[in-house]
Amino acid sequence: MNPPLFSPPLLRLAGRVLRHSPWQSALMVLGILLGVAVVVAVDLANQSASRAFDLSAESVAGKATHTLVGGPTGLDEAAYTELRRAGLPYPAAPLVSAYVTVPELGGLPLQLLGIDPFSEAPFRNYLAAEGELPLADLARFLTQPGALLLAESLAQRYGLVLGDPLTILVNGQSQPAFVAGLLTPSDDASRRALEGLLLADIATAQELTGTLGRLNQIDLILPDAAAADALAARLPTGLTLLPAAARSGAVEQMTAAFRTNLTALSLLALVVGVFLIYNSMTFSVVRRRPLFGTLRCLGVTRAEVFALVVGEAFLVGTLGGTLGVLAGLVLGQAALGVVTQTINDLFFVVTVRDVAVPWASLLKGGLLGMGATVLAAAFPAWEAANVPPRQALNRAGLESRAARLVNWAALGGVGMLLLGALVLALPSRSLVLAFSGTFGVVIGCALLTPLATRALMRLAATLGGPVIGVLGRLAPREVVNSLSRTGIAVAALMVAVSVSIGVNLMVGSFRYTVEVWLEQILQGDIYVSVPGASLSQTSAPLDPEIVQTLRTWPGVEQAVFLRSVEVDSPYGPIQLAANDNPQDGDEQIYYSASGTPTEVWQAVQNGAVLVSEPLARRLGLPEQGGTLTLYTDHGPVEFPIAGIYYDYGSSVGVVSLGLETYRQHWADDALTAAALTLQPGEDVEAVTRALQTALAPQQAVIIRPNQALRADTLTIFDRTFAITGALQLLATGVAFVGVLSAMLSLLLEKQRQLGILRAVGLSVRQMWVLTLLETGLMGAAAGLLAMPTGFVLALILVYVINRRSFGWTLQLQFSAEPFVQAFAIAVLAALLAGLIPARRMARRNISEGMRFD
Amino acid sequence: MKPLLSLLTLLAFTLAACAPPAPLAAQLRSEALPVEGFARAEGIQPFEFPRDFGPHPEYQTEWWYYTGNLDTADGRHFGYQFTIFRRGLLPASQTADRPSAWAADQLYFAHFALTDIGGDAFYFEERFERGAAGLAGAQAAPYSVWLADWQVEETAPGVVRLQARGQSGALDLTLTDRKGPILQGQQGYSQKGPEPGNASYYYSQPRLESAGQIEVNGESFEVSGLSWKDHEFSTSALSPGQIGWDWFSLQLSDGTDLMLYTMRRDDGSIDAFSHGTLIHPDGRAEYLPFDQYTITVLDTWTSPHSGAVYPAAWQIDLPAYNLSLTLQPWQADQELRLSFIYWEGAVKISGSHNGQPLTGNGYVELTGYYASMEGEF
Repeated sequence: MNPPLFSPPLLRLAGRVLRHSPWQSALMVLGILLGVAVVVAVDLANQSASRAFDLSAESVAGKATHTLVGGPTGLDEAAYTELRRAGLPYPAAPLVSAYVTVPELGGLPLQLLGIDPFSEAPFRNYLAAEGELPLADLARFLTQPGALLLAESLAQRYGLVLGDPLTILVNGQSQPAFVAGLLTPSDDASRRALEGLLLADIATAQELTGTLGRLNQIDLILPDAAAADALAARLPTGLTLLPAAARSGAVEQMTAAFRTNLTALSLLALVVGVFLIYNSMTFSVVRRRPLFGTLRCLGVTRAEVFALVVGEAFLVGTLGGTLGVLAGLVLGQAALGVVTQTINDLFFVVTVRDVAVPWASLLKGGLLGMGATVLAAAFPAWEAANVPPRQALNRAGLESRAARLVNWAALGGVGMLLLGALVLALPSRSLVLAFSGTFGVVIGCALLTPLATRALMRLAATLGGPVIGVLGRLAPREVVNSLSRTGIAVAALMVAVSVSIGVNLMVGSFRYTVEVWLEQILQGDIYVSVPGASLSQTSAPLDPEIVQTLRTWPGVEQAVFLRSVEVDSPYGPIQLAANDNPQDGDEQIYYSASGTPTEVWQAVQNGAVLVSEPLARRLGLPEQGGTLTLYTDHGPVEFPIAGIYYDYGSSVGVVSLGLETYRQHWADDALTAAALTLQPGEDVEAVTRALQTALAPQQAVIIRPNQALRADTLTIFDRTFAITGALQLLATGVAFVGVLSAMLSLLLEKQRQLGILRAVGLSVRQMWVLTLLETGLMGAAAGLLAMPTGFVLALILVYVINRRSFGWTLQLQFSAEPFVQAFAIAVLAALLAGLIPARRMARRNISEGMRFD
Repeated sequence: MKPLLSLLTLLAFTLAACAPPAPLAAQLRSEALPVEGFARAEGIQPFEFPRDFGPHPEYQTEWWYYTGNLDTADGRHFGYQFTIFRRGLLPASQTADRPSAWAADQLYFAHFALTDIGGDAFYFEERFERGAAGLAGAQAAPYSVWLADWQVEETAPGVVRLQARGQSGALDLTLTDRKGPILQGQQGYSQKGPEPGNASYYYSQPRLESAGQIEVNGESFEVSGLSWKDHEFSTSALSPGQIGWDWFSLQLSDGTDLMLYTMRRDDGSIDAFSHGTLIHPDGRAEYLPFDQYTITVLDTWTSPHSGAVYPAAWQIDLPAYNLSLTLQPWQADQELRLSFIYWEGAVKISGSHNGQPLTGNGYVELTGYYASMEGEF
C-alpha cells in the first residue's frame, strides 16, 4: 500500500527544512510575494479601470440597444418630438450629456446627464432602486433652473446638503446650479455608477451646457434587427442609428492594448520571481542531496522525495501567494489611480473611481504565485527524486551534471530565441502573440546566460589573475564551479536588468520621437484652447467673441483655427481635427502620402482627408488610395484619404481635414482651438499675458506659449509612462531578492570551503574581497549580458509591441545611459546581495565554519 | 363627471407603470403640491368656446376625458376610456424664464383603457410626458389635446379624431358632436365641497357620435356608437370627510343624457354637494340637486387583483322626471391599477322614462374603494 503523496511526516519535514534556514525561506517568500503583488496590483488596476469604464458606459448607455446620433453637435431636439408624436412603438429616451467639473465636488470630471424622467424608466436603472420620489421633488427637478440630483454618498463626501449651491464648469463657462435631490441607490453598482454622475432634467442640462435645441443622442430599445432597419430607413438625413454596443465597444477596445501592456509587464515580474524560486529550490535540493540519499537508502520512494520538495515549494508558494495578494491589494490602489489617470488623459473620461475589489483577480494572482512556485520547484524536485541513492551521497555528481546541463540549456536557449523571433515575425496584429514571442526571446537569452557566464568568468580569470592575484583567479572559478546555482541567479538578474534597458530605451525613443514631432507640428507661437473636464475631452468650443478677438489682436500675424470634434462612423466614434492652416500640408510628417506635401494639401483643400498613423493601423487602411466613411449631416460620405501622417497626440487616431470641407458636411461653425503666429519682434510672453487678461472675462481659456504647450504635452507623456517605470523597478526588486537569495545560499553552502581557506591563511579582509568579487562578477556578468538582451528587447518594444498596441512608429533613439544605468544596477545589486552573507561569514570563527556540515 | 379632480390635486402616481423599473424612482409619494399662486374656482364665470376647449394653466389641474360604448356591425361590444390629464407644477407667477424648449411647468399624463366584451378582456395603461417641447399639450383652436402619439384633434367644426395606440390595443375614432358643450353644475361652476375654491369649472359634450376602428391584440374592428367628453379644470382638494365618489355618465336610447355623481363621506353618508345634470334630446340641460335622485347599489364585485369591493349594479331613480334605470356593468373587471386604483367601466342600461321602456349605455367611475381618497390626498 502506498502512503499518500503528501504524508504528514514528510510535510513536517518540509516545514522543518524551511524553518531551519529562515533566511532562504523568507527570501523565497519575498520573491513570490513581490511577483504576485505586482501581478495582482496590475490586474486589479486593469480590471477596475475596465469595470469602471463598463459602469460609466452602462450608467449612460443603460439598456439601450441602439442610439440615434446626429453630427458633432448632436441632433435637433425636434427629432425626438417627431419620433414620439409619430408613435414610435419602442422605448426612446433623449439624452444631453457633457463632462463638467464642479469645484464643490472636488473638481474631478463628472458626467452631467440631462434626462427626461418620463422616458427614462426602461433605460437606466440608477434611479430604479430609489423607492419614492415625492411629486414636489419631481416638480422641483423639472421646474427649477440648475436643479441637479446626485448620489447621497457623493454629497456626503463633500459635506453638501439639499439646496446647497454648486458651480458647474463646462466649456470654460461657469454656471450656477444647486442640489435638488439626493439619490440613494440600494445596490453598490448603481451607487458607484451614480457617484460619477450629475443628473439634471434635459432642459436644465441644455441650459447649463449651452446646447439649447440640441440633444446628444436618443437612446432606443429595439426588439430586433428588422425594427432597426425599418427605423433607419425612415430617418431623416443627418440622423444615424447605431447599435449601442458599437460605441462603447469601440472605446473599450482602444484601451485594451494599454491594459495588455501592463499585464505583460506585470507577468515579467512574476517570471523573474519564478527564476528566483527555481534558484532557491535548486539550492535547497543541492544542499540536501546527502539527506535525500539517506532518505532513499532508508526506503523513502522517489515519489515521496519529489513530494517533499514540491511540498516545500507549496508551503512557500502559499505563504508568498497569500502575502502577495495582500500586498497587491495595497499596491493596486496606487496603480488604479495611475491607470485611471492615463485612461482619462489618453482615451476617455472614466467617472467611476471606486470599484469593488474583483475577487477573481486576487484568487488568480494567488493561484498564479502558488502554481509558479510549484512549477519552478518541479525540476529540482525531479532532480532530487531521480538521483540514485548511492550517487546522492556523492557531492561531486551534481556539478558535473550541471556542466553538461549548461550546454543543453544554451542549445534550448538558441531554440527559444529562434522560436521567439519566428513568432514575432508572424504577420499578425495580435498583441498576445507579440508578447509570447518577446517572452520567448527573453527566456532564450536567459537560458544562454549560464554558458555566457562561464565564458565570461574564464575570461575574467585570465584577465583578473595578473591584476588581483590569487583571489582574482579564485573568484571567477568559484562562480563557474557552482554554475548550477550562480548561472540561474545571473540569468534572473540579467532578465530584470535587460527589461529595464529595453523599457528605458523604448520610453526614451518614444519621448524623443514625440519631441521631434512636437517641434514639427507646433509652429505657432501661442496656443488658445478651452479647458475640458479631462484631456481626452477637447471639443469645447471657443466663444465666437474670443475668436474675433484673436483674429484682430495687435501683433498677431496669423491666427489658425482648429475644430476638434468627435463624429460617428461605421468604425465607431472618430476624432476629427479640421483646421484652416494654409501651411498644414508642410507641417505634418507623412508616413505615406499621395504625392508631395503640397499636392497632398491641395487634395485636402479639395475635400480629401488625412488619417493619423494609429487610426490607419487600427482600421487597417491601405497606405495609398484608401477611403474613409464618416456619418455627416447628410448621411454617410466616403472621403478619399490623401495621406497618412505621424501623430503621437492620440493613440485612438485622428482624421484631419480642411475646415471648409468640415463645414460643408457638418453644420457646425464652432472652433475649438487657435494657434497664433506673432509678427517678428513681438514678445510671446507679453502677448500671452495680455491675452490672458483680455479674454478672462469672456471665457475661461487656456492660453499657452509654444514652449508651455510642449512642456505640458511631455508632462502627460511622462505621466503615462509612470506606471511602466514603477513596474520595471519592481521587477528589478524581485531580481535583487533573487541575487541576494542566491548569494546567501551559495555562501552558506561554501562555508566549509571558506573555513578551509581561512584555515590555510585567508584573512577576513581577503574573504570579504573574495565574496564581493564573486558577487560583483556575477552582477557584472548579468549587466553585460543584459545589454544585448535589453537592446533586442528595445527593438521588439519599439517596432513590434508599440506598433501593434498603439499604431505608432517610433524612431529608435540609442543612448548609452540605460546601458550604463543597468550595468550599475546589476553590479550594485549583486554587491549588496553579497554584503549580508559576507558579514555572516566574517563573524564565524574558522572551526565553526569547518564544522558546519 | 370624473372628479379625479381632487385626486389629482394631491396625486399619487406611478410614472410609466407599464415599464418597470420606474424612473426617478417612480412612485410619486402622495403629497400635495402647493396650490398657492394658482387660480381657484370660486364662482360662476362665463364659458366661451372655442377658447375653453383649450387648456387653463392658471388652474392647477385639468383633464379632457373621453369615454364611449361602441359596437361592431355584428354586435361585438367595446368600451373605451381615454383621458389626458394636465397638472401645473408651478403657478405662472413663480415660473422662471427659461431658454430651453424642454423647460416644463406642466405635467401631462394619460389613461387609456379598452373593454372588449367579446374577448372578455380589459386593457389599460398610463403614460406621462412633460407639457413642453411639443411632447404633450392642448390648444383651443383648432382644438387639440395630445400626449405623444395619443391625441384628439379637431378635423372640422364639431368633429374630432381621437387616436391612441397602446400595448394591446388601439383606437382611431371620428367623434361628431350632436349636442354641443353642456355646462355642468351651475353654468359650468361645479361645487364639490363647502370650502370656497373646492369646486371646478366643468362642461361636457355628452353625445358624440362615434365611428372608426378599434384594434385589440392585432385584430381590427369597424365600430360605431356614442362617446362622452368631459373637460374640467380646478385648483382644489377634497373636503375633509369625503372619501370617494361614484360618477355616472349615461346615454339613453330616447336621446336623453344624464350625468350624476355622489360624493361619499367617511360616515357612509352622501355629501350634499353631490349633483347631476339631465340633458334632454334637444340639448336643454337641467341641474339636478342631490335630493332629486337616488342611487341604490344592487350588487358588489370584489376585485381579485386589488381586493377592493366595488358596487356592481345600480338602481337609479329620478322621481320628478319619472325616470327609472337599472345599470349593469358590461363586464365586472374594469379596474384600472395605475398610479391610483379605481374602477371605470362601461355599463349597460335598461329602464323606463315616462312609462316608455328604454335602453342605453354609459360609463361609471368608482373611486375611494381600494383606499380612501381622503388622506391619500
